[in-house]
Amino acid sequence: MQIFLKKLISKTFLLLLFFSCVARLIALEVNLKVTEDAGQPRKGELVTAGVPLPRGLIKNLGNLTIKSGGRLIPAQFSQIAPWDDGSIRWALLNTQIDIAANGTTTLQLNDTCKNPAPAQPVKINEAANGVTMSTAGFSVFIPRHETGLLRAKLNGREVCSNNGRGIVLHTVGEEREIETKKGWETIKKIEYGVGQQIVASPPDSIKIEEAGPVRAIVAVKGKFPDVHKGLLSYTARITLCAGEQQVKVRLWIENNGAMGYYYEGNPKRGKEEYRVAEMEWFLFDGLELELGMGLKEPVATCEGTAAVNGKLKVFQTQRWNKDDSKLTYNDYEVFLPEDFEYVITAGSEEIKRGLRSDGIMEIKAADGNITAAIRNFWQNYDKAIEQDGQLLRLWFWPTEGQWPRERKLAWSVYPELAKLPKPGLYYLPGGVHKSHDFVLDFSDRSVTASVAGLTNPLYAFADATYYADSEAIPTLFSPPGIYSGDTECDSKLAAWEKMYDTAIDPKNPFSLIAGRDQAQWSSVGYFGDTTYWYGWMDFGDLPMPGHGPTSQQNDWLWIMLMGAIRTGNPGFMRMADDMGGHRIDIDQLWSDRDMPELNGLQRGPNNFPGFHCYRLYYVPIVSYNHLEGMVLYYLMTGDTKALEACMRNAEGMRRAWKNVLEKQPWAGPQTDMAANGWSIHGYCSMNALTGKQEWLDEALTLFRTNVVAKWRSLGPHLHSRDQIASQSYMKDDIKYCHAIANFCLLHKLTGDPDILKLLEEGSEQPFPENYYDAPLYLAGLHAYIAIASKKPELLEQAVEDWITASPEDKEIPVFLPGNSVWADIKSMHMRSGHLLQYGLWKSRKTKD
Amino acid sequence: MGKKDIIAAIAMVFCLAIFDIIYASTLQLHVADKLTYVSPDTWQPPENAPAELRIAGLRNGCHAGQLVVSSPEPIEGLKTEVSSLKGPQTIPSSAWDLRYGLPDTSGKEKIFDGLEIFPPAAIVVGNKNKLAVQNIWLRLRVPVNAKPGNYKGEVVVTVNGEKAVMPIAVKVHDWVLPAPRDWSSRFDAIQSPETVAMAYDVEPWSDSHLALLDKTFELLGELGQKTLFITVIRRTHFGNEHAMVRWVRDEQGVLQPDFEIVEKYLNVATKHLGKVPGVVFYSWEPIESMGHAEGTGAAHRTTDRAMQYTLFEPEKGTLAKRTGPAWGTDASKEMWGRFNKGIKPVLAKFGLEESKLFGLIGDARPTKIAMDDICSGDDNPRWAVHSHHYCDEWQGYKIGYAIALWGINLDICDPNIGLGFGWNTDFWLSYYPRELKMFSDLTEFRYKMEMWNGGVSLHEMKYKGNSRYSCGLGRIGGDFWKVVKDQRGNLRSTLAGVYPETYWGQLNLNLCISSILAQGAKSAIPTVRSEAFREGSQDAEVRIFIEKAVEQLNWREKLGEELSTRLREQINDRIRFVNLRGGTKINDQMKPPKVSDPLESSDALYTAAAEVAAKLGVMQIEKGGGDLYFLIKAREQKK
Repeated sequence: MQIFLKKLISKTFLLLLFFSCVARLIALEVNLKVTEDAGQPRKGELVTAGVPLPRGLIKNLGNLTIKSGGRLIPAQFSQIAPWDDGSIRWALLNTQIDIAANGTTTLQLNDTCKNPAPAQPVKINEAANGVTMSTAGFSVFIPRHETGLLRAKLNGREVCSNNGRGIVLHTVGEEREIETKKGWETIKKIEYGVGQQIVASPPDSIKIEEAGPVRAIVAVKGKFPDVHKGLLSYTARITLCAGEQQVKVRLWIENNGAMGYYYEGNPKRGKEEYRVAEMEWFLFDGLELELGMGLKEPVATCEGTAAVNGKLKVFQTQRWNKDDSKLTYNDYEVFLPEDFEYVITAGSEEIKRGLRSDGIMEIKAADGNITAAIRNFWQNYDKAIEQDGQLLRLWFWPTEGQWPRERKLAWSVYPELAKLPKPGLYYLPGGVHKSHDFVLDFSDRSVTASVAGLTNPLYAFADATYYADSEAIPTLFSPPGIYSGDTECDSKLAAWEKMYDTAIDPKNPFSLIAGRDQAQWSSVGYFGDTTYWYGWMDFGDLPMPGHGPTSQQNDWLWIMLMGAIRTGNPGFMRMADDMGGHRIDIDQLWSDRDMPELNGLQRGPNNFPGFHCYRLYYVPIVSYNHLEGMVLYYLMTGDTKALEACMRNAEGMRRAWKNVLEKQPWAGPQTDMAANGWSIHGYCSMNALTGKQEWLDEALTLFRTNVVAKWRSLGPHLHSRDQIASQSYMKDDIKYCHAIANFCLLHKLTGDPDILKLLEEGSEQPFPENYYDAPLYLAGLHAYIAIASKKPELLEQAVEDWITASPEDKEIPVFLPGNSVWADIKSMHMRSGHLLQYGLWKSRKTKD
Repeated sequence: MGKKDIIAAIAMVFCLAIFDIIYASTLQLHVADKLTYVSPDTWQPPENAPAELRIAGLRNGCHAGQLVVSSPEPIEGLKTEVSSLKGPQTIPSSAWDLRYGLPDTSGKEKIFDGLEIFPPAAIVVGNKNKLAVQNIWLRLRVPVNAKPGNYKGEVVVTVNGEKAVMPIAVKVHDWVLPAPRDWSSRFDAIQSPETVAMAYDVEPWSDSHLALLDKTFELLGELGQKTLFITVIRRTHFGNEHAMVRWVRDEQGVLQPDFEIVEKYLNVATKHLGKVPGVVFYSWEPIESMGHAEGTGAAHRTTDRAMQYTLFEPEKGTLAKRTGPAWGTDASKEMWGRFNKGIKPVLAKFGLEESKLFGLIGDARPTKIAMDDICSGDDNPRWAVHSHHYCDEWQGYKIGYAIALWGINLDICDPNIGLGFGWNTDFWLSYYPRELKMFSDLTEFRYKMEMWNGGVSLHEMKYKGNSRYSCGLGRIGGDFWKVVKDQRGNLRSTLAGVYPETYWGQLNLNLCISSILAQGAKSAIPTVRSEAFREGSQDAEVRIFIEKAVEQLNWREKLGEELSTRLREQINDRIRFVNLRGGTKINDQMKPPKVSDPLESSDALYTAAAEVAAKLGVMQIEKGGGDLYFLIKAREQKK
């Protein structure tokens, strides 16, 4: 009996040990790397990161914890995206850490216990008159029924008072036609009288989006009364973090009016112009946030200058060809870095002039300090910050600025846009929700410490293998460093990987960052202009030399995020932040007043530089719509506006495709395999975001209708051998290549046998000698079929393909000055290698 | 019946027999206008055809005439014999080159175009004209030492014992036409070695291939060909799967250029063309080649396709398609540096160091970065442009050779309004005659070269007192025949623009003349079009000789004012004649010429050249450096 008991006990022990080991194996343990890249030591700085979780592993956020140096630290988790089984696919982590300047630290994510609370958690108190957020003796009050947006108290004393009016819109006055004589000519001009200052209404809604204890976010929404047919609104997301005496705000000014898109008429065919709304672009003179300061005799300083008699203003702009030297025929290389200009004035007196200001104003008084800063101040010119006695004004659209600028060139060909520029006035185009981030710091920290979290927020990244293994990211990719064993192929794969580093390396002359320092002659539809990298309508986009802004053609946002995922380099997130902001604010169409089939889509890649749009009868279509980057941005950041944009865009895509499928327009996107591929990727991304099968069904519908139709008529490469039609290169061959990875993704997610058949046939038949870069994409196709159809011999073909089309370089430029399509081609090149590496990685795993 | 009756009866029988013979003969031989296509389906015997074949010629010239043999019955066993020419001396029959038209069905109607050495074995009766028709082309190479004067001879055509005879009259003028390689006009036909290899199904760069290229260049040499194109990259507009410059990895794995094929090509080409002024190393293509450059080049068409090169793997004996280093990288500069260093002695071997040009800039244009790379290690790089709009400089690099369409901005006008002197320009600017189609009127083929040698910018003359000129024609396909097959094995297209990114839009060779030569049974052959071009270029040289004498002050002085003035008037009339036939129309400003017959016009021109030569005692005049008489006068009038 004893022996039996001993055996039983030992067996039970072994069993428990086994289960314990298994439990350890399946338990979550993820290292998250945080890098400080602003050269500023951080103390209690917020780290925000989306963390993917394997399917079925985590169903309850409550057990997730974060350790730093082996010690549990306060953290806050929320669910971003679910798996289809209800488990958590992506969780959003908010925690706070100390990190040395330029240092790196590793956090451990576990699911074994509970987080400790912060020493000074953020608390929210919701009352009838408003919402109060508080921590560390600092509180922010958001009034429900009053204007003024917010008030702040530090240690019980009002530091941001209700003296300020809040969001103030400076409107234009009455329109009148003026006639002037110029020689023999009588010129008629529209002039505007002095406008009004209209204060934004108290909030229509206040919503607590995050309630702490590490981070609290309150969203405030309201309107501007009696302006622009009620189509102008605002949203502010106000953030407080535990222990911090600063408030961060992202403020959107939203024009919900129509962009004014229309279908062009054709009198010869008896076709009339069709539009549902005129251009509802909002014309205004300026917009500021006016805050009252509860300080005694405050004195502001900025760029080394101090206020005189309580007045100081820094105004940032960029002058068109500041000294006129660059304005020569067909060489309008204006808006170069030297054309930036900030002017600091005290009252009417100019006291300093320089190139670029970071837009940080430090206000000191005997009884307290305020550091105010607008993120990407000079990049989003025109901007200003002003101290006016007891008032602090954050000018998101200072009255000195203008957009669009007046052209020095003829724009008569398209008067609808040509007539827009008005001296000293702005247009906020229809469907644009433009945001600005700013911080108000009331602590006694240094200025650099105060703004570091605004300009260089901290992110945490898991190891690339973890990201890839989790399969939570809706893309087929592998960790970096996956090679084939063939020397030539591997050296070319390494060069491909290095392109990602090049893209964000400011020292590399062929990086995107170096590209931003160039302005080049552009001609879009015969209109001469310059490229614009900066300005509030342009920053974050990618204008290519010779072209206007491209709306991040081929989804540079997604590319940057893949770089972040695979390398953990925060430089990619910096770029993604810029691009994500632009994509969401500017390129995403927020208005519901244009045609239903295009509401919700994004701007296309062809735009006049000066107007950030093309002729309005070139309406947004699904062909250029990239949802995948926006979804990934949301998953990585948990950005609420990104989520709104994703949902809106996905529904827009669904509507647009429904319209296409019903109307089958001539040469419409139904025949464009790249368009189908992008949308398939977008739908797969929505499946990852929502966990809903319906999005995969939408993707399969596209495959079963459009793709299969082309397959039947033109074979598995989905294009005819002859790609020239009436002197135009149809590029169906290129479009097929661009769709391959997306078809493979859909097959992986659905296991649909028809998709596999198409891909198999494509890998078996010789590819026509059309697109010269095709082997880059065929490498991915062959690698995928090698694993999906268990044909390892195809990996050799994949390797040969990659060798054929990859350049003989160790470093491949991403942006080539003067080259009007290089960055476009390279964006696809950068997307292409993932599928090959995925195939190599999976085949290696299978062997192991 | 007396003796007289018997004689009369015999005579009657004889006459009847003769009558029978005459009226039973079905074979007919006619002189045909050599500037008119002959269609085997529709050609009919002309009512007033000349009774003899008349040719006006120059010493060292090559002049042609066209005959048409026809019969209501199918023709088999056609034979042609041309006699020697009797006159001040005897020009042997070996001076004749006989050719037979090959029917071409690619145009609107079937016409004789290619000129084959061998007569067809059988000629069938056409459905429409109910005749078996064959043209015969007689090319006379007048010996350089031929005595001037009138010559007589005949051509005899025999079919199954039936004969037809045509007398020939040749007038040789006393002026020596320079050899085509020394012609002042610049003719730029693009030769396609890949097409030749595919058309005759021979191994590229084998001895058989080179032998075929030898024949091609012999014919292009007769046309005054002044350029050669050597592909450094693959997938150019010329549809080359592989480049002529190949790259081999050395022991360190570094890519080194292999010029073996380049040398073979230069060897066979220069044998016939001499030291051509333009050897274009085709090193660059854009990503998209459609559209046309606006003004000085549209910024959005400034693109560089990744370098596509050919890797030769000696151990395998195979060629592989590869992509070169990205533009702007050290690897790219180094690779191109090795190319430029390596090609230098190759060019020197053929005396072509000064002819090197990089290409080919089109309507889409290279970035400075790519041009910098390509020119690495070249001390004096120059580029070639074929574009709607040309430029004389791009991204800071000199253009050594430019071809433009309407962007050339030169006027073809009446000589009373303006005169152009294509021979008097230092900048190699040629006109791209896109309005010429494969089977445009032969008169246009004949006179286009001479016409554009007289192009002038009236705007520049008005405001600057001088003008740019064009010195030739270019971007004409030499031998881009249909060799690309469709899935059913039918010939569907030429190699030009076969790769979609290098289609070159409206500058696609297929939109103009894809082949000035035809694909013969055994090698390339001339065409009635190339013959027209060749004779037109000959005539242009005659005019240039006279103009040099009339316009260059030192020679004008020797000619004397009276003769110079008369010659100027005569050339002006020739200009009107040429302009009308070259494609312009009579309008308010364009006067009709006094001489309207092509033979008469050429004859008058040759006579004038002989007169100038006799007066000056020279057969050739070099381009002088001084001002031209016309320009001096024009400026005086303006003052």
